[in-house]
Amino acid sequence: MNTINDVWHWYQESQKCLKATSRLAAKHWSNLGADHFIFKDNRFKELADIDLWFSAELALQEMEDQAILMLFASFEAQCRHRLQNELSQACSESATTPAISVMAATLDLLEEGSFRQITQHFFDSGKISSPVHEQLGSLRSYRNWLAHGKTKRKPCFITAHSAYALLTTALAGITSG
Amino acid sequence: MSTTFKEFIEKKASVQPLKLDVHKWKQSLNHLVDQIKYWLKESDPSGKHLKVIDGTRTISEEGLDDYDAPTLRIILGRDQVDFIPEALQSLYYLPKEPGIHMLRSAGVVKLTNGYDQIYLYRQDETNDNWIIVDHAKYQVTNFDRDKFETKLKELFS
Repeated sequence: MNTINDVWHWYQESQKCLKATSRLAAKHWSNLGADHFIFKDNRFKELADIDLWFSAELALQEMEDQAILMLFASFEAQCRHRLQNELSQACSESATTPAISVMAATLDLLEEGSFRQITQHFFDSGKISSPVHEQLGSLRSYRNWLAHGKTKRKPCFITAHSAYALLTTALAGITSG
Repeated sequence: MSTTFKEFIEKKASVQPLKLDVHKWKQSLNHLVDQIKYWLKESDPSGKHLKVIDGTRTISEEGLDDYDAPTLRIILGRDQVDFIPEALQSLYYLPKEPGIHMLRSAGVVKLTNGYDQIYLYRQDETNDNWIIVDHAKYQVTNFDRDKFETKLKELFS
């Protein structure tokens, strides 16, 4: 499983690389001179500054949203995993067959069930605060908008940095205690 | 005991997001654009060095009709910085010990040179308080002329 921090590390490194490429293309590429040794490499010989810049910009434009999708996916997986562990532990400690049966059914639901209900559980059990729970709802709407191909109107504006801050705050509460 | 329909609609209405006013948002953007142009004019009275180009962009947001928002392009030599309104409905975080707090803002504008960006958030609808959130440094500062010029220098360098 990719953790939120794994995704964040990928985002930061990829963004750093693409920003450096974009800046290299915009500010320095055309000043290198045709006789620069880099142009002895066939891969760079035909590469114009505008093409290099455009490629980097195109990748950067989608990077925020890709990062939010991946961060949320990682968060969701970690929440489901956490709740499964809690329920499995409760199952193993329960002596009654009907209770085990109910918990087993709940475990199955956890695989496919609505993620909103899972965050609601953590809110009801006091592991995430009301503002964090509310903002998770907004972020989930944004994730759904992305996952459905941005065909509807944008629900709100949020950066990957803000999403990361929110998700790590929520996860710290969920995994505490 | 099940809730009545009256109780249901009252509860439902109480959790609806605040109605955001696009007209006020556009007014706020226009004031900010005018303020920035005034500051730029004071720094370059003859207009020989800075070229400022007005524009508009259409923004689509959930729950709102499409609307046009003012944009600016500031050009200095071969470099340019764009002022781009992103959305009225936005979320950002505020670093606050001991945790990080998310807040809903009443509008966000991006200042970008193409590869780096700085976000200006309008804190609420009742007044035009703008803040700069530096996401990478977890810093929040009030937006004023000094901060604007400092950030503009960074984006032009």
